[in-house]
Amino acid sequence: MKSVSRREFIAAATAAAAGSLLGGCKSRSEAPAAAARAPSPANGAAVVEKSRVILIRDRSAVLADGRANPEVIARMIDEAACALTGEKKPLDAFGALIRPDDTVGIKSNVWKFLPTPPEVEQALRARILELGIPEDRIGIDDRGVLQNPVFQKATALINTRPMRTHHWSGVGSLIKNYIMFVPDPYNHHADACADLAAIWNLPHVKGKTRLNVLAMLTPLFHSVGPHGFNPEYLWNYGGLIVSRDPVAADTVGLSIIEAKRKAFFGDNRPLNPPAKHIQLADTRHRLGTADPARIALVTLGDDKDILL
Amino acid sequence: MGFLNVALWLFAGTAAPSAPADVLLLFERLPATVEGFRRDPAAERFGRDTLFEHIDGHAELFLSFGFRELLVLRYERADEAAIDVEIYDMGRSQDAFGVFAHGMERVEREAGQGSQYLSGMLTFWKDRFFVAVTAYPESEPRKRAAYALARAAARLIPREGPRPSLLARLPKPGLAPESVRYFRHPVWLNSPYRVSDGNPLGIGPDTEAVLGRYGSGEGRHVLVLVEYPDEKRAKQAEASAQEGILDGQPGPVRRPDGRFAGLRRAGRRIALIVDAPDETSVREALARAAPGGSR
Repeated sequence: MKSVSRREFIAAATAAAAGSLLGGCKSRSEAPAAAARAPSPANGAAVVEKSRVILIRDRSAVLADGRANPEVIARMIDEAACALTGEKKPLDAFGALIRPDDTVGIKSNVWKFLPTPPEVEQALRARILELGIPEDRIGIDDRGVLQNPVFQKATALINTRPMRTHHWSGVGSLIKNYIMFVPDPYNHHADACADLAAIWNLPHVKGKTRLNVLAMLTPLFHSVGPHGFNPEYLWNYGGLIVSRDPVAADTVGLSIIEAKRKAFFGDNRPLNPPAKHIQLADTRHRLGTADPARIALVTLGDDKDILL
Repeated sequence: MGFLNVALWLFAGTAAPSAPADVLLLFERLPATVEGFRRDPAAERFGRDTLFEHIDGHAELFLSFGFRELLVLRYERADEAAIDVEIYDMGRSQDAFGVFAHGMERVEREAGQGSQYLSGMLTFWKDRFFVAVTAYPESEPRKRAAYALARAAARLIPREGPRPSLLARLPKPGLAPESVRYFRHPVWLNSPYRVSDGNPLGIGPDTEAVLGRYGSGEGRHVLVLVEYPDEKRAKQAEASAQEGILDGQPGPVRRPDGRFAGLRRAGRRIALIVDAPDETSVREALARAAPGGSR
């Protein structure tokens, strides 16, 4: 996959901007919320649909001991949801994503070295509860999603995990996070997990994902050792990437990982293997977009060392 | 099979007996205590079908190198986080080297035939075994214990094993030793540079492949050497690689990233140069690689 510069993303966002500004969300580079899936114009002219991606950063979200700060995380998720939907109030933003009659599965990730921060899970769950959805229609799970009654009945999914480098797929991505929706994950590893996006087309998954939250709080930018983990290769980026489009969110996250590798190693050290499943999720499976020209990136919060 | 039988077989260097030998029993003799850490008597074992249970999402790396079995031992101390000792029987020393080199960032030899210590994790390889001692988060007591355990495990392995013979064909001048890789699965072709999707070089369990990075900055390049079982396979791979990597051109070509690539076959071996700055560099590097030489 080609590395993507911030300039390319911002150019896309600028091109998409048509004058509407977000209410209630501090933003630096902005594009209208409707640009995420712009309707065709009345004259039938082709338009380039853009996927809206919110990158929000606050390095105080990571405490000195490595845990996440729940208050900061909750605020970041609220601001990102507002920026994504164009709503002024967080509850309205979540209301634009989730209906009161939904049964909601929050697909998490329990990898022991770098799991989805519980603070992210709980911030999402709290807002869903506030929408009036009862506890028994909200589930948080990873390995057990196929057996979990809430996920079996889910009408809406929220997908959240940290990004990390991965021995076989290049990176552990939002796209890859759905591998637990098949009973035979090992059969989806061919060609460096090239076709992971096919899982998103399975009947019990297709069309249900309303929100993707890629945790970039302390991403892992290099894998060594039998478990692919060494704390030497974590850093406090303090970010969350939020989008309806998992491919676009992964594309932004991957760019940050690649930029960090270049900064750390001092040369172009490609991911091994390349994270081609993200590109192929676009070009082969049409799950979303990996093309920077079709990603409207909005950045919020801390700009230092943004790596884009 | 008891310790004595295992030891006799390993020391003798003869073919394995007809019944599969439990070579991991060797490591039952690791010390009961190290630096105040006490060994948990409950050891765990994982085979090819269960490795996923222990290594979440990364088992494929080991399986691609012919993994046989894993023994996991844990050492605990009241005031410290536990230390895990993982001993992987890779079946062949070449594959143990392959797994070790996959994560090689620097070249050290503090234990076994090659080792690396990185922020609380010490890995080494010796003969058919790859060993990882994980002591996160790093502390001085855990670091000392990790070294002691690794050295003790290395001493229990009675002999060294051969490195992949193809490594000797990587020219030494300019080679970054920490970049050397050995593999028998096509996914690792892209280790230092994205060569191609798919498997244009026809790499598989019956082929041997090595690669290394040469030079630095704009003058750098990567050399890949592949050895096939016979010349017919090498010819097929040559044609496929010319199509898949060199865009159907016979000579050095400029790739979409602006870097140059070229290949040369001699007998049942192929040398591939990628990530080179220009055509001349490709030709010179291929001449130095001499894939059909007599070494």
